[in-house]
Amino acid sequence: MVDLQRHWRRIVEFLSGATGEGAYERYCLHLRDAHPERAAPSKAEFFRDGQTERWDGVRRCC
Amino acid sequence: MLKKLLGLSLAGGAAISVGAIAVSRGEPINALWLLVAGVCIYTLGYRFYAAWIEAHVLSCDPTRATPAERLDNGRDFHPTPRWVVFGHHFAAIAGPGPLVGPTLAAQFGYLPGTLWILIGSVLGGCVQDMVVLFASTRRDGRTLGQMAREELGSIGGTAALLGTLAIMVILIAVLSLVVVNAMKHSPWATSTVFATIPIAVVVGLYMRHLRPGHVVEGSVLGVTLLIGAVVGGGWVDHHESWRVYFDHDGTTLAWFVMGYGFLAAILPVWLLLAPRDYLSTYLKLGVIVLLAVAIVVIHPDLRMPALTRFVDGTGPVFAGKLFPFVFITIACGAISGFHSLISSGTTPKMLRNEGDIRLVGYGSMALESLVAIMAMIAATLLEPGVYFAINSPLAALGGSAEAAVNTLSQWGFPVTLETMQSLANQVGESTLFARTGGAPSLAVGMASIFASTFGGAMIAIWYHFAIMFEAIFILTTLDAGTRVGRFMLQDTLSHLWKPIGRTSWYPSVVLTSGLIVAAWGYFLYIGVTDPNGGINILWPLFGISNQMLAAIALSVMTAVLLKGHRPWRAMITAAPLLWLSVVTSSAAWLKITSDNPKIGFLAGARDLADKLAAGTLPPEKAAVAGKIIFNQQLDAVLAGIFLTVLWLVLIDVCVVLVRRVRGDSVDPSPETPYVRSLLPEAGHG
Repeated sequence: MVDLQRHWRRIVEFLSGATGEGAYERYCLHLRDAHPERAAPSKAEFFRDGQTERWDGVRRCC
Repeated sequence: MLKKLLGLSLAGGAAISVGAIAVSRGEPINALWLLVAGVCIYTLGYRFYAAWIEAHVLSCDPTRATPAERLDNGRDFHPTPRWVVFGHHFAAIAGPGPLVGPTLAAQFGYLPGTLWILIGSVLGGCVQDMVVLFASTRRDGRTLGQMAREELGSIGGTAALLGTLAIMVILIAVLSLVVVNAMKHSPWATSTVFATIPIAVVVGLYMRHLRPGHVVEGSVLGVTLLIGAVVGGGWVDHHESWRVYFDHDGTTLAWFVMGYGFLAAILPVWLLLAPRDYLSTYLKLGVIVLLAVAIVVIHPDLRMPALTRFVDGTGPVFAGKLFPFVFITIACGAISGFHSLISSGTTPKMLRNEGDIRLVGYGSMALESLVAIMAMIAATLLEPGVYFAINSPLAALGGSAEAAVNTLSQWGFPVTLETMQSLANQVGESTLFARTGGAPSLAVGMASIFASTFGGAMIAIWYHFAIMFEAIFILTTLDAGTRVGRFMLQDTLSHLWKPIGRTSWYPSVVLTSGLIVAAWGYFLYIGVTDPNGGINILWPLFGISNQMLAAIALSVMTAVLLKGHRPWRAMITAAPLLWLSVVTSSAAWLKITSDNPKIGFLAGARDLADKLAAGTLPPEKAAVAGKIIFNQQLDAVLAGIFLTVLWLVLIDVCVVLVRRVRGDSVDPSPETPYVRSLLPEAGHG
């Protein structure tokens, strides 16, 4: 039972990482640990900045 | 013990499958043999060769902190679980290339292409991706261009930059040609592909304004709309007054695609590019899984012979002998230089542990290569006559559908007009003759696999789903490629005039985007107007440029390994480099100097000029002859540039090699110093 739960958690963790769904929450955790003095951006701001940044290089192949 | 058993059974599986493929002569073999051979060989390569490279050549160190850990900013640099990195990396390297190449190379039979995909990836492509990923990880995620400059000097660096820009232009041109050929006079395909644009915009608005950050919701919405668009396309196709709006010839569609490419490059990414990329990624993964399941379920026989007569170079799909042309026709899927751009730069910033390099670098490419095997299966399960009728330009088969049927039957690939017409009716197209570029024949193959697995009545829907699937991939590459080309051009031109380098200054954006679109648009336009079908010209050029980029990447990596403690182990990259140099050089040389007008660019130009002078060309061909002659000459110059760049880089590597052999000092390779990882799993990697 415990094993099943652990596996399920892992699957959810994988999906949230792979889809980018959990990126904002992850970033907030990172900010809290590494730079507690900085205010976290709102979710909309975070995705806005991330998207522009992400497309500044080679991202997709042939 | 269990692991040894697994290894043994894999070796056995591989031996039996390859054996079954090799000894079947004359009778059709089952597609499963190819799939099983692939899975076993990739697993063996992964478990033994890649593990040996990891431990004894690269000395990956699980206790060493990766750039993701040291430079963690919570965004691009962030330690990410290995399977998530694997997913991202695979999604980034998997594109339309491994679908098109094997389809075209199937004209030689299923055997040569399959062997090259298997051997090329296990010993070449996977190794390249893995070693580049390793080197970039040890250098704070530097790009291939930066590493080339550091390892080989400014010539190597410039070569990598030039190579990337050239490959981008040729790649976009040839892929756009594939889409245009699939949409030509097909209201269903055209309306579906057009509908993907507003759908992407809707998803973009949804993810930015309605529900920011809810990418899964947005993607589910998008994929649903896309499937609706495929069904809606069928409705448009049957509607008398609507269908005419979407029934266009190649030239008009080429202009549409150019206009689209320009708009996509100057619009903000969130509106079109990013949402389209989400959609194509989900679609891609879904289709790959579906295809694998369907092949296993229906395990069809391959109807194409193992080897066809066209190994002698007289093939109608593209001209040229088995050697060297199979090795440049299948670039992605066996070894793709483009991957080195992803393996350096983006992915290394996410790696949590050096112990993940084998899975992400080697493993992703092995999976990509398996996709190429599936494309080969989808192409070779068609009746060979049907395959050749779809993929050959009419000019190569006698000029008309009737002549094509006769020619093919004489060649021993019988097919009838009725068969072709009924197949076209089934998939909802007016004709399937000369639908070159690989997409339609792959779609017919996929549709027949899907329809017999998931329901036969919907073959037309499956066909157009497959076309939409390929088109959305290609348009993503087109958007992203134009954008990258624009950045590179802005960067280069900024040395001449500073303001042009400001990436968000609108006049500069419009100017440089326009230049890039004009560059690929030119080749696309010529490809569309070429009566012999532009694929015959553009695909080899793309293959040569992609393999040249792979050779540059392998050269840089060979230099890195030569400078290390165990220089002779640079063989792991030097061996594929040697092979690629031979293949790419001989292919480029043939494309320039061959006397055969179908193969040599210059011979083709001369042949056309002679015919034009003699007045033997029909008026519609004479009208475009001048452009085609110039284009052939330009192609020869391009092939010459690729060849020169390749050899300049090779000479650079030889200099490093000679210095190492003579015991002279070489500049050490600039790795970031060791820092111990503080992450919990370090040391267990």
